[in-house]
Amino acid sequence: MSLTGAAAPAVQVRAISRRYRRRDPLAVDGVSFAIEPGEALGLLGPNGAGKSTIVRMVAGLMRPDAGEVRLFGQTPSDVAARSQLGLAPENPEFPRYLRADEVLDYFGGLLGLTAAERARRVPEALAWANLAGERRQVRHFSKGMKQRLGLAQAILGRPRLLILDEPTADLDPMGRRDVRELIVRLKARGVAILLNSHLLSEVERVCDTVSILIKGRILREGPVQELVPEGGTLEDVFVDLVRARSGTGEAGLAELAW
Amino acid sequence: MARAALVSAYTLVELRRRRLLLAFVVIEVLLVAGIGIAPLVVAPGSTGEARALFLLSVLSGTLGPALFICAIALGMTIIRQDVDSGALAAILAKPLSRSGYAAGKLLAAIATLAFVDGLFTAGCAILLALDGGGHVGILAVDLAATAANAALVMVVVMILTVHWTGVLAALVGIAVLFVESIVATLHTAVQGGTITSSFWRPVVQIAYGVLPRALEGDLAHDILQTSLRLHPGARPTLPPGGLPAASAPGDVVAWAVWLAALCVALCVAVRRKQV
Repeated sequence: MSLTGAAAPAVQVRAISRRYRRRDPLAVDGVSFAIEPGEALGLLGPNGAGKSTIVRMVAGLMRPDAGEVRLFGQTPSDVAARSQLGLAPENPEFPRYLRADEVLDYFGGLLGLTAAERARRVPEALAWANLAGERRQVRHFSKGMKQRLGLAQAILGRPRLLILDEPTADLDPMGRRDVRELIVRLKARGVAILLNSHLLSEVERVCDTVSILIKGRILREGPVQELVPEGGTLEDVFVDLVRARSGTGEAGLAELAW
Repeated sequence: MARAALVSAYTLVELRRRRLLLAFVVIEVLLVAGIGIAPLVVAPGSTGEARALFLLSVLSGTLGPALFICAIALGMTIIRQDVDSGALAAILAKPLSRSGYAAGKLLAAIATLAFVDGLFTAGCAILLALDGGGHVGILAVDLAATAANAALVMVVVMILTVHWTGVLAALVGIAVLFVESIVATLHTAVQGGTITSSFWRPVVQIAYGVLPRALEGDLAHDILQTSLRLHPGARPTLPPGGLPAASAPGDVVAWAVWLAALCVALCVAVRRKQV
Protein backbone atom coordinates (compact mmCIF):
# COMPACT_ATOMS: atom_id res chain seq x y z
CA MET A 1 0.00 0.00 0.00
CA SER A 2 1.25 3.47 -0.80
CA LEU A 3 2.22 5.49 2.22
CA THR A 4 1.32 8.81 0.68
CA GLY A 5 -1.81 10.38 -0.72
CA ALA A 6 -5.45 10.29 0.28
CA ALA A 7 -5.63 6.47 0.45
CA ALA A 8 -2.99 6.28 3.19
CA PRO A 9 -4.18 4.83 6.50
CA ALA A 10 -4.53 7.14 9.48
CA VAL A 11 -1.59 5.41 11.15
CA GLN A 12 0.97 3.14 9.51
CA VAL A 13 3.65 1.76 11.79
CA ARG A 14 6.33 -0.39 10.19
CA ALA A 15 8.81 -2.44 12.23
CA ILE A 16 9.58 0.26 14.78
CA SER A 17 12.13 -0.42 17.50
CA ARG A 18 13.31 1.71 20.36
CA ARG A 19 15.87 1.29 23.10
CA TYR A 20 16.16 3.92 25.87
CA ARG A 21 19.80 3.35 26.73
CA ARG A 22 22.48 1.39 24.94
CA ARG A 23 22.63 -1.41 27.51
CA ASP A 24 18.85 -1.61 28.04
CA PRO A 25 16.76 -4.26 26.29
CA LEU A 26 14.55 -3.06 23.46
CA ALA A 27 11.49 -1.26 24.86
CA VAL A 28 9.78 -1.74 21.50
CA ASP A 29 10.95 -4.45 19.13
CA GLY A 30 9.84 -4.53 15.49
CA VAL A 31 6.22 -3.48 16.04
CA SER A 32 3.97 -2.97 13.02
CA PHE A 33 0.31 -2.11 12.70
CA ALA A 34 -2.06 0.12 10.78
CA ILE A 35 -5.25 1.94 11.71
CA GLU A 36 -7.77 2.93 9.07
CA PRO A 37 -10.18 5.88 9.43
CA GLY A 38 -13.18 4.88 11.55
CA GLU A 39 -11.26 2.02 13.14
CA ALA A 40 -10.28 1.66 16.83
CA LEU A 41 -7.17 -0.32 17.71
CA GLY A 42 -6.59 -1.39 21.31
CA LEU A 43 -3.00 -1.69 22.44
CA LEU A 44 -2.79 -4.12 25.34
CA GLY A 45 0.07 -5.36 27.45
CA PRO A 46 1.35 -5.67 31.00
CA ASN A 47 3.28 -2.83 32.63
CA GLY A 48 6.54 -2.17 30.80
CA ALA A 49 5.35 -3.81 27.59
CA GLY A 50 6.18 -0.71 25.55
CA LYS A 51 2.69 0.65 24.92
CA SER A 52 3.36 4.23 25.99
CA THR A 53 6.66 4.24 24.10
CA ILE A 54 4.74 3.30 20.95
CA VAL A 55 2.24 6.08 21.63
CA ARG A 56 5.06 8.62 21.99
CA MET A 57 6.63 7.52 18.72
CA VAL A 58 3.29 7.67 16.89
CA ALA A 59 2.67 11.18 18.29
CA GLY A 60 6.11 12.34 17.14
CA LEU A 61 7.39 12.98 20.66
CA MET A 62 10.09 10.35 20.32
CA ARG A 63 11.96 8.99 17.33
CA PRO A 64 12.18 5.24 16.69
CA ASP A 65 15.71 3.81 16.43
CA ALA A 66 14.52 1.72 13.45
CA GLY A 67 11.38 1.46 11.36
CA GLU A 68 8.99 4.21 10.41
CA VAL A 69 5.74 5.83 11.47
CA ARG A 70 3.38 7.58 9.09
CA LEU A 71 0.31 9.63 10.00
CA PHE A 72 -1.93 10.06 6.96
CA GLY A 73 1.12 9.31 4.83
CA GLN A 74 3.39 11.86 6.50
CA THR A 75 6.00 11.61 9.23
CA PRO A 76 4.81 12.60 12.73
CA SER A 77 7.38 15.41 12.78
CA ASP A 78 5.38 17.04 9.98
CA VAL A 79 3.28 19.88 11.40
CA ALA A 80 0.47 19.18 8.91
CA ALA A 81 0.28 15.54 10.06
CA ARG A 82 0.09 16.58 13.70
CA SER A 83 -2.73 19.01 12.95
CA GLN A 84 -4.90 15.89 12.35
CA LEU A 85 -3.85 14.36 15.66
CA GLY A 86 -5.38 14.55 19.12
CA LEU A 87 -3.31 13.09 21.94
CA ALA A 88 -4.54 12.44 25.46
CA PRO A 89 -1.29 11.42 27.13
CA GLU A 90 -0.90 9.12 30.11
CA ASN A 91 -0.70 11.26 33.29
CA PRO A 92 -1.63 14.41 31.38
CA GLU A 93 0.15 17.56 32.53
CA PHE A 94 -0.28 21.15 31.40
CA PRO A 95 1.30 24.55 32.11
CA ARG A 96 0.68 24.54 35.85
CA TYR A 97 -0.09 28.22 36.38
CA LEU A 98 -2.81 28.43 33.71
CA ARG A 99 -6.52 27.81 34.20
CA ALA A 100 -8.40 25.13 32.25
CA ASP A 101 -9.96 27.66 29.85
CA GLU A 102 -6.53 29.24 29.24
CA VAL A 103 -4.96 25.84 28.54
CA LEU A 104 -7.63 25.12 25.95
CA ASP A 105 -7.32 28.60 24.43
CA TYR A 106 -3.51 28.17 24.27
CA PHE A 107 -3.74 24.71 22.70
CA GLY A 108 -6.55 25.80 20.39
CA GLY A 109 -4.27 28.56 19.12
CA LEU A 110 -1.47 26.04 18.59
CA LEU A 111 -3.97 23.93 16.62
CA GLY A 112 -4.52 26.90 14.33
CA LEU A 113 -8.09 27.65 15.48
CA THR A 114 -9.19 31.25 14.99
CA ALA A 115 -10.19 33.36 17.99
CA ALA A 116 -13.86 32.95 17.02
CA GLU A 117 -13.52 29.17 16.78
CA ARG A 118 -11.76 29.06 20.14
CA ALA A 119 -14.46 31.23 21.70
CA ARG A 120 -17.04 28.65 20.57
CA ARG A 121 -15.17 25.40 21.08
CA VAL A 122 -13.41 26.04 24.39
CA PRO A 123 -16.64 26.37 26.43
CA GLU A 124 -18.05 23.30 24.62
CA ALA A 125 -14.99 21.22 25.48
CA LEU A 126 -14.99 22.48 29.08
CA ALA A 127 -18.65 21.59 29.45
CA TRP A 128 -18.03 18.10 28.03
CA ALA A 129 -15.19 17.63 30.51
CA ASN A 130 -17.30 18.91 33.45
CA LEU A 131 -14.81 21.73 33.93
CA ALA A 132 -17.06 24.65 32.99
CA GLY A 133 -16.74 27.43 35.55
CA GLU A 134 -13.55 25.96 37.04
CA ARG A 135 -11.36 28.99 37.88
CA ARG A 136 -8.47 27.33 39.71
CA GLN A 137 -5.07 26.95 38.11
CA VAL A 138 -4.15 23.49 36.78
CA ARG A 139 -1.65 22.94 39.60
CA HIS A 140 -4.61 22.70 41.99
CA PHE A 141 -6.42 20.06 39.90
CA SER A 142 -6.94 16.45 40.98
CA LYS A 143 -5.67 13.63 38.75
CA GLY A 144 -9.18 13.03 37.45
CA MET A 145 -9.64 16.70 36.55
CA LYS A 146 -6.33 16.72 34.69
CA GLN A 147 -7.37 13.59 32.84
CA ARG A 148 -10.65 15.22 31.80
CA LEU A 149 -8.78 18.32 30.67
CA GLY A 150 -6.40 16.03 28.76
CA LEU A 151 -9.34 14.52 26.90
CA ALA A 152 -10.91 17.94 26.26
CA GLN A 153 -7.71 19.31 24.67
CA ALA A 154 -7.31 16.11 22.62
CA ILE A 155 -10.69 16.54 20.92
CA LEU A 156 -10.55 20.35 20.70
CA GLY A 157 -9.16 20.43 17.16
CA ARG A 158 -11.67 17.85 15.80
CA PRO A 159 -8.81 15.41 15.04
CA ARG A 160 -8.98 12.64 12.43
CA LEU A 161 -6.75 10.51 14.64
CA LEU A 162 -7.24 10.29 18.39
CA ILE A 163 -4.60 8.67 20.58
CA LEU A 164 -5.79 7.82 24.07
CA ASP A 165 -3.11 6.62 26.48
CA GLU A 166 -4.81 5.16 29.57
CA PRO A 167 -7.63 7.71 29.18
CA THR A 168 -9.82 6.41 32.01
CA ALA A 169 -7.20 5.48 34.61
CA ASP A 170 -8.17 8.29 37.00
CA LEU A 171 -11.80 8.79 36.00
CA ASP A 172 -14.90 7.96 37.99
CA PRO A 173 -17.51 5.56 36.48
CA MET A 174 -19.42 8.46 34.90
CA GLY A 175 -16.25 9.77 33.31
CA ARG A 176 -15.44 6.31 31.96
CA ARG A 177 -18.85 6.04 30.38
CA ASP A 178 -18.42 9.47 28.78
CA VAL A 179 -15.13 8.36 27.25
CA ARG A 180 -16.64 5.13 25.93
CA GLU A 181 -19.49 7.07 24.35
CA LEU A 182 -17.03 9.55 22.89
CA ILE A 183 -14.98 6.80 21.28
CA VAL A 184 -18.05 5.14 19.75
CA ARG A 185 -19.35 8.46 18.43
CA LEU A 186 -16.02 9.54 16.95
CA LYS A 187 -15.51 6.14 15.30
CA ALA A 188 -18.86 6.53 13.61
CA ARG A 189 -17.66 9.88 12.25
CA GLY A 190 -14.60 8.26 10.69
CA VAL A 191 -12.04 9.16 13.35
CA ALA A 192 -9.26 6.60 13.77
CA ILE A 193 -8.55 5.72 17.39
CA LEU A 194 -5.51 4.24 19.09
CA LEU A 195 -6.49 3.18 22.60
CA ASN A 196 -3.90 2.13 25.12
CA SER A 197 -5.61 0.78 28.21
CA HIS A 198 -5.39 -1.77 30.99
CA LEU A 199 -9.17 -1.91 31.26
CA LEU A 200 -9.74 -4.90 29.01
CA SER A 201 -13.53 -4.83 29.28
CA GLU A 202 -13.51 -1.29 27.87
CA VAL A 203 -11.17 -2.24 25.06
CA GLU A 204 -13.38 -5.20 24.23
CA ARG A 205 -16.44 -2.96 24.06
CA VAL A 206 -15.10 -0.17 21.89
CA CYS A 207 -12.19 -1.51 19.82
CA ASP A 208 -12.42 -3.30 16.49
CA THR A 209 -8.94 -4.81 16.64
CA VAL A 210 -6.40 -5.40 19.39
CA SER A 211 -2.65 -5.94 19.53
CA ILE A 212 -1.27 -7.66 22.61
CA LEU A 213 2.28 -6.64 23.45
CA ILE A 214 4.71 -8.31 25.79
CA LYS A 215 8.27 -7.08 26.28
CA GLY A 216 8.05 -4.77 23.29
CA ARG A 217 6.79 -7.34 20.77
CA ILE A 218 3.30 -7.97 19.44
CA LEU A 219 2.40 -11.54 20.40
CA ARG A 220 -1.13 -11.60 19.12
CA GLU A 221 -3.25 -9.27 17.02
CA GLY A 222 -6.50 -9.29 15.16
CA PRO A 223 -10.18 -8.41 15.30
CA VAL A 224 -11.68 -8.72 18.78
CA GLN A 225 -14.31 -11.26 17.60
CA GLU A 226 -11.60 -13.54 16.20
CA LEU A 227 -9.33 -13.36 19.25
CA VAL A 228 -11.99 -13.92 21.89
CA PRO A 229 -13.41 -17.48 21.92
CA GLU A 230 -17.12 -18.20 22.26
CA GLY A 231 -18.18 -17.55 25.87
CA GLY A 232 -14.77 -16.14 26.81
CA THR A 233 -13.53 -12.61 27.40
CA LEU A 234 -10.60 -10.59 26.18
CA GLU A 235 -9.28 -10.67 29.74
CA ASP A 236 -9.08 -14.50 29.59
CA VAL A 237 -7.13 -14.32 26.34
CA PHE A 238 -4.81 -11.65 27.70
CA VAL A 239 -4.12 -13.37 31.04
CA ASP A 240 -3.47 -16.76 29.39
CA LEU A 241 -1.09 -15.20 26.93
CA VAL A 242 0.84 -13.22 29.54
CA ARG A 243 1.12 -16.23 31.87
CA ALA A 244 2.23 -18.51 29.09
CA ARG A 245 4.85 -16.00 28.01
CA SER A 246 6.15 -15.13 31.47
CA GLY A 247 5.95 -18.70 32.80
CA THR A 248 3.89 -17.75 35.88
CA GLY A 249 0.78 -19.73 36.79
CA GLU A 250 -2.19 -19.26 39.05
CA ALA A 251 -0.06 -20.60 41.88
CA GLY A 252 1.70 -17.22 41.97
CA LEU A 253 -0.73 -15.70 44.47
CA ALA A 254 -0.90 -18.87 46.59
CA GLU A 255 2.87 -18.82 46.94
CA LEU A 256 2.70 -15.51 48.77
CA ALA A 257 3.33 -16.03 52.45
CA TRP A 258 -0.09 -15.11 53.79
CA MET B 1 5.05 32.88 13.80
CA ALA B 2 1.57 33.27 15.31
CA ARG B 3 2.06 30.01 17.22
CA ALA B 4 5.46 31.15 18.53
CA ALA B 5 3.83 34.39 19.69
CA LEU B 6 1.18 32.35 21.49
CA VAL B 7 3.84 30.27 23.26
CA SER B 8 5.52 33.52 24.23
CA ALA B 9 2.32 35.16 25.49
CA TYR B 10 1.31 32.24 27.70
CA THR B 11 4.89 31.87 28.98
CA LEU B 12 4.71 35.49 30.14
CA VAL B 13 1.38 34.77 31.86
CA GLU B 14 3.03 31.86 33.68
CA LEU B 15 6.06 33.92 34.69
CA ARG B 16 3.78 36.59 36.08
CA ARG B 17 1.74 34.06 38.06
CA ARG B 18 4.90 32.36 39.37
CA ARG B 19 5.69 35.76 40.93
CA LEU B 20 9.02 35.81 39.09
CA LEU B 21 8.35 39.25 37.61
CA LEU B 22 7.23 40.47 41.03
CA ALA B 23 10.49 39.16 42.52
CA PHE B 24 12.47 41.14 39.91
CA VAL B 25 10.52 44.31 40.70
CA VAL B 26 11.09 43.84 44.45
CA ILE B 27 14.84 43.24 43.91
CA GLU B 28 15.05 46.39 41.80
CA VAL B 29 13.13 48.58 44.24
CA LEU B 30 15.14 47.34 47.24
CA LEU B 31 18.47 47.80 45.45
CA VAL B 32 17.76 51.26 44.09
CA ALA B 33 16.21 52.46 47.36
CA GLY B 34 19.14 51.02 49.33
CA ILE B 35 21.67 52.68 47.06
CA GLY B 36 19.73 55.94 47.27
CA ILE B 37 19.83 55.90 51.06
CA ALA B 38 23.44 54.67 51.33
CA PRO B 39 25.18 58.09 50.81
CA LEU B 40 23.22 59.50 53.76
CA VAL B 41 24.72 56.78 55.96
CA VAL B 42 28.17 56.23 54.45
CA ALA B 43 29.08 59.76 53.43
CA PRO B 44 26.56 62.13 55.08
CA GLY B 45 28.39 65.31 54.23
CA SER B 46 28.95 64.59 50.53
CA THR B 47 27.29 66.78 47.92
CA GLY B 48 27.27 67.36 44.17
CA GLU B 49 29.83 65.45 42.08
CA ALA B 50 31.15 63.46 45.05
CA ARG B 51 27.69 62.14 45.79
CA ALA B 52 27.08 61.43 42.07
CA LEU B 53 30.40 59.58 41.91
CA PHE B 54 29.41 57.46 44.91
CA LEU B 55 26.01 56.65 43.40
CA LEU B 56 27.46 55.79 39.98
CA SER B 57 30.12 53.53 41.46
CA VAL B 58 27.65 51.63 43.62
CA LEU B 59 24.97 51.41 40.90
CA SER B 60 27.40 50.04 38.33
CA GLY B 61 28.82 47.56 40.83
CA THR B 62 25.42 46.33 42.04
CA LEU B 63 22.92 46.44 39.21
CA GLY B 64 25.14 44.57 36.72
CA PRO B 65 25.35 41.42 38.88
CA ALA B 66 21.63 41.79 39.71
CA LEU B 67 20.82 41.78 35.98
CA PHE B 68 22.91 38.63 35.51
CA ILE B 69 21.09 36.94 38.40
CA CYS B 70 17.72 37.82 36.85
CA ALA B 71 18.89 36.52 33.45
CA ILE B 72 20.08 33.21 34.92
CA ALA B 73 16.83 32.83 36.91
CA LEU B 74 14.87 33.38 33.68
CA GLY B 75 17.04 30.92 31.74
CA MET B 76 16.57 28.30 34.46
CA THR B 77 12.80 28.63 34.45
CA ILE B 78 11.46 29.43 31.05
CA ILE B 79 11.80 26.04 29.31
CA ARG B 80 12.42 23.86 32.34
CA GLN B 81 8.96 24.68 33.74
CA ASP B 82 7.41 22.82 30.79
CA VAL B 83 9.87 19.92 31.05
CA ASP B 84 9.43 19.46 34.81
CA SER B 85 5.65 19.82 34.80
CA GLY B 86 5.33 17.35 31.91
CA ALA B 87 3.44 19.93 29.84
CA LEU B 88 6.06 19.71 27.08
CA ALA B 89 4.54 16.47 25.73
CA ALA B 90 1.07 18.02 25.39
CA ILE B 91 2.53 21.16 23.74
CA LEU B 92 4.85 19.40 21.28
CA ALA B 93 2.09 16.99 20.21
CA LYS B 94 0.31 20.03 18.75
CA PRO B 95 1.02 21.23 15.21
CA LEU B 96 3.76 23.55 16.41
CA SER B 97 7.26 23.17 15.02
CA ARG B 98 9.90 22.68 17.66
CA SER B 99 11.75 25.70 16.28
CA GLY B 100 8.52 27.67 16.76
CA TYR B 101 8.38 26.54 20.38
CA ALA B 102 12.01 27.57 20.93
CA ALA B 103 11.38 30.92 19.22
CA GLY B 104 8.37 31.57 21.45
CA LYS B 105 10.36 30.83 24.58
CA LEU B 106 13.26 33.02 23.40
CA LEU B 107 10.90 35.87 22.65
CA ALA B 108 9.39 35.67 26.16
CA ALA B 109 12.83 35.46 27.80
CA ILE B 110 14.28 38.42 25.91
CA ALA B 111 11.16 40.52 26.43
CA THR B 112 11.31 39.85 30.17
CA LEU B 113 15.01 40.67 30.36
CA ALA B 114 14.37 43.91 28.46
CA PHE B 115 11.58 44.70 30.94
CA VAL B 116 13.94 44.11 33.89
CA ASP B 117 16.62 46.26 32.24
CA GLY B 118 14.02 48.99 31.70
CA LEU B 119 13.03 48.79 35.37
CA PHE B 120 16.64 49.12 36.50
CA THR B 121 17.27 52.03 34.15
CA ALA B 122 14.11 53.82 35.29
CA GLY B 123 15.08 53.31 38.93
CA CYS B 124 18.57 54.70 38.31
CA ALA B 125 17.17 57.65 36.35
CA ILE B 126 14.85 58.54 39.23
CA LEU B 127 17.69 58.22 41.73
CA LEU B 128 20.10 60.36 39.68
CA ALA B 129 17.35 62.91 38.97
CA LEU B 130 16.73 63.26 42.70
CA ASP B 131 20.46 63.84 43.07
CA GLY B 132 20.43 66.69 40.56
CA GLY B 133 20.58 64.77 37.25
CA GLY B 134 23.50 63.92 35.01
CA HIS B 135 25.18 60.66 33.93
CA VAL B 136 21.77 59.05 33.22
CA GLY B 137 22.46 58.44 29.53
CA ILE B 138 25.84 56.84 30.19
CA LEU B 139 24.41 54.63 32.95
CA ALA B 140 21.49 53.57 30.70
CA VAL B 141 23.88 52.55 27.90
CA ASP B 142 26.01 50.64 30.40
CA LEU B 143 22.97 48.78 31.77
CA ALA B 144 21.81 47.98 28.23
CA ALA B 145 25.28 46.56 27.46
CA THR B 146 25.11 44.48 30.66
CA ALA B 147 21.63 43.22 29.71
CA ALA B 148 22.94 42.27 26.27
CA ASN B 149 25.79 40.31 27.88
CA ALA B 150 23.35 38.70 30.32
CA ALA B 151 21.11 37.69 27.40
CA LEU B 152 23.88 35.46 26.01
CA VAL B 153 24.30 33.69 29.36
CA MET B 154 20.52 33.37 29.66
CA VAL B 155 20.27 31.61 26.29
CA VAL B 156 23.18 29.30 27.23
CA VAL B 157 21.27 28.33 30.41
CA MET B 158 18.06 27.84 28.39
CA ILE B 159 19.87 25.48 26.01
CA LEU B 160 21.22 23.43 28.89
CA THR B 161 17.83 23.20 30.66
CA VAL B 162 16.38 21.35 27.68
CA HIS B 163 18.30 18.30 28.91
CA TRP B 164 19.70 19.20 32.36
CA THR B 165 18.18 20.44 35.59
CA GLY B 166 17.89 24.19 36.10
CA VAL B 167 20.44 24.27 38.92
CA LEU B 168 23.08 22.41 36.91
CA ALA B 169 22.44 24.64 33.90
CA ALA B 170 22.76 27.74 36.09
CA LEU B 171 26.07 26.52 37.53
CA VAL B 172 27.44 26.04 34.02
CA GLY B 173 26.14 29.51 33.09
CA ILE B 174 27.96 31.03 36.05
CA ALA B 175 31.12 29.11 35.10
CA VAL B 176 30.90 30.53 31.57
CA LEU B 177 30.63 34.04 33.03
CA PHE B 178 33.62 33.40 35.29
CA VAL B 179 35.78 32.15 32.40
CA GLU B 180 34.74 35.11 30.22
CA SER B 181 35.66 37.64 32.89
CA ILE B 182 39.04 35.97 33.55
CA VAL B 183 39.85 35.96 29.84
CA ALA B 184 38.75 39.61 29.51
CA THR B 185 40.96 40.60 32.47
CA LEU B 186 43.92 38.69 31.07
CA HIS B 187 43.36 40.33 27.69
CA THR B 188 43.40 43.77 29.28
CA ALA B 189 46.68 42.79 30.96
CA VAL B 190 48.11 41.66 27.62
CA GLN B 191 47.03 44.92 25.99
CA GLY B 192 48.53 46.92 28.85
CA GLY B 193 51.83 45.06 28.54
CA THR B 194 51.54 43.41 31.96
CA ILE B 195 51.68 39.92 30.43
CA THR B 196 54.74 39.61 28.23
CA SER B 197 55.16 35.83 28.02
CA SER B 198 55.42 34.70 24.40
CA PHE B 199 53.42 31.59 25.36
CA TRP B 200 50.53 33.21 27.27
CA ARG B 201 50.03 36.23 25.01
CA PRO B 202 48.77 34.23 21.98
CA VAL B 203 46.81 31.85 24.24
CA VAL B 204 44.95 34.78 25.80
CA GLN B 205 44.46 36.45 22.40
CA ILE B 206 42.96 33.25 20.94
CA ALA B 207 40.69 32.66 23.97
CA TYR B 208 39.56 36.30 23.78
CA GLY B 209 38.83 35.93 20.07
CA VAL B 210 36.88 32.69 20.48
CA LEU B 211 34.70 33.58 23.49
CA PRO B 212 31.84 36.06 23.22
CA ARG B 213 33.15 39.53 23.96
CA ALA B 214 31.32 41.46 26.65
CA LEU B 215 29.78 44.70 25.42
CA GLU B 216 30.97 47.73 27.36
CA GLY B 217 29.56 51.19 27.93
CA ASP B 218 31.49 54.33 28.84
CA LEU B 219 30.55 54.30 32.52
CA ALA B 220 33.93 53.09 33.82
CA HIS B 221 35.70 55.95 31.99
CA ASP B 222 33.04 58.40 33.19
CA ILE B 223 33.57 57.34 36.81
CA LEU B 224 37.34 57.62 36.43
CA GLN B 225 37.14 61.08 34.86
CA THR B 226 34.72 62.28 37.54
CA SER B 227 37.06 60.92 40.18
CA LEU B 228 40.07 62.67 38.62
CA ARG B 229 38.11 65.94 38.46
CA LEU B 230 37.22 65.64 42.13
CA HIS B 231 40.72 64.64 43.23
CA PRO B 232 43.14 66.23 40.70
CA GLY B 233 46.23 65.23 42.63
CA ALA B 234 45.22 61.62 43.14
CA ARG B 235 46.93 58.82 41.22
CA PRO B 236 44.33 56.36 39.86
CA THR B 237 44.92 52.66 40.60
CA LEU B 238 44.13 51.91 36.96
CA PRO B 239 45.13 54.23 34.11
CA PRO B 240 42.39 55.11 31.58
CA GLY B 241 44.12 52.81 29.07
CA GLY B 242 43.72 49.90 31.49
CA LEU B 243 39.92 50.17 31.41
CA PRO B 244 38.03 48.35 28.70
CA ALA B 245 37.05 50.69 25.87
CA ALA B 246 33.40 51.27 25.01
CA SER B 247 32.18 48.75 22.45
CA ALA B 248 32.42 49.66 18.79
CA PRO B 249 29.74 48.75 16.19
CA GLY B 250 31.88 45.71 15.26
CA ASP B 251 31.53 44.40 18.82
CA VAL B 252 27.76 44.78 18.63
CA VAL B 253 27.74 42.83 15.35
CA ALA B 254 29.87 40.09 16.99
CA TRP B 255 27.40 39.99 19.90
CA ALA B 256 24.48 39.66 17.46
CA VAL B 257 26.25 36.81 15.66
CA TRP B 258 26.78 35.03 19.00
CA LEU B 259 23.14 35.53 19.96
CA ALA B 260 22.00 34.16 16.58
CA ALA B 261 24.30 31.13 16.94
CA LEU B 262 22.99 30.42 20.44
CA CYS B 263 19.39 30.74 19.22
CA VAL B 264 20.14 28.16 16.51
CA ALA B 265 21.71 25.90 19.17
CA LEU B 266 18.55 26.23 21.27
CA CYS B 267 16.39 25.22 18.29
CA VAL B 268 18.63 22.18 17.69
CA ALA B 269 18.44 21.19 21.39
CA VAL B 270 14.63 21.40 21.38
CA ARG B 271 14.42 19.48 18.08
CA ARG B 272 16.55 16.68 19.52
CA LYS B 273 14.55 16.48 22.75
CA GLN B 274 12.82 13.13 23.20
CA VAL B 275 9.72 13.58 25.33
